[in-house]
Amino acid sequence: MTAISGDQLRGHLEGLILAALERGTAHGWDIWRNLEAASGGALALKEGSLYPALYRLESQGLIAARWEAATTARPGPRRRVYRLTAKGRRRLETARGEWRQFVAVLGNLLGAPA
Amino acid sequence: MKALRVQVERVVRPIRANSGRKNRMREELLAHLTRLHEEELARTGDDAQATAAALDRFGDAASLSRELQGSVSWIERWACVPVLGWMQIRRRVGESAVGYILRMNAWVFAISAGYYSLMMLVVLIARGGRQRVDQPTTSQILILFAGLIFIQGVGLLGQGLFCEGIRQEIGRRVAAGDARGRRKATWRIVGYGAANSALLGAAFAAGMLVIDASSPISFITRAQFWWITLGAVVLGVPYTLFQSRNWNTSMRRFENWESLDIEDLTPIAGA
Repeated sequence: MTAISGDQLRGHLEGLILAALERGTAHGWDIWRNLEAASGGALALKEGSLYPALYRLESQGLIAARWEAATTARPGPRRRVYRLTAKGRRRLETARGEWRQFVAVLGNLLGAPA
Repeated sequence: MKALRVQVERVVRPIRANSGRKNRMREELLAHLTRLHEEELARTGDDAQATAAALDRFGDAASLSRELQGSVSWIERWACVPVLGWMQIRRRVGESAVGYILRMNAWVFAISAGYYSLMMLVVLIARGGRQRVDQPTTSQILILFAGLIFIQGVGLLGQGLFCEGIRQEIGRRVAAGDARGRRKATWRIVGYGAANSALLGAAFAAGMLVIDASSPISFITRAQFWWITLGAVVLGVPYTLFQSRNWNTSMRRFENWESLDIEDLTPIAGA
């Protein structure tokens, strides 16, 4: 499968994250693994890029996060658990509609209707 | 693992954001990078290779910094604009806690002395040669500002030292192997907390006394001074204990980030 680069994904990563969170709460790590699995390994993005997108979504109120409770006494990095908010769910529906329209219009223009 | 922490710090340190947000970024990025390293280590069986591969998968520090900066609101970015001497505010590599507290105190003292001197000059110029009966004398104004500088200096120095004591005791409490060790550390935390609260209360009340002494209107008595100090202790001890529960998990986790040397390290492959 041809790799999809960061430039091609620009503007879509946030929608992809919302879609990944639609299935339930997840850590950044799990979100990335879900996206990777769903794309069949075609996403050619650096994994750190996930976090700026998560923080933007959180500041817009589209997702919410909480620290995962520590399971051990050893001080170490904790993880944050993200979930989709009602606002995020509505945005996801809007993004899906826009994507269908985009694909339909471009498909017609390119002579390859969806 | 140091190389992973250094890479995270290379990403986060240049970002203009408040410390809470930066600490959150540090912890979350480190958690992800640690998982990446574990995965690569299981695959390759070689630590150096695993580190290089994990860093490569994670992404370039400079571009990640730029992306993360974009996720910070413009108000916060503006509020965290580096000012003159901002590099000096950070704890230096290898600097002791006491040395750091003393250095910071010297900075605050110098800035305050300049600020109060300027204020005093403005007051004296505005008053001119005439002095009304209800106005303080020049010597009273001098005593006022000198007193405030002194109280502020002592207060900040003491607070820094007591907080460092609390921080160390929190570390001891975590590391203590038995209940007795934990109990002893907890009592020391209470002691430092009480001393810190007393100092803050006394500094506040002493400031009022100094203002009182240089003002024609009296508004604080010595009895009130002691009541304020005692009140600070009574309120301060439970507050310290409550806060130490958070410090336990957060202060220890982040205490070394700012002093981590991100320059003096062999260039990391893939970073």
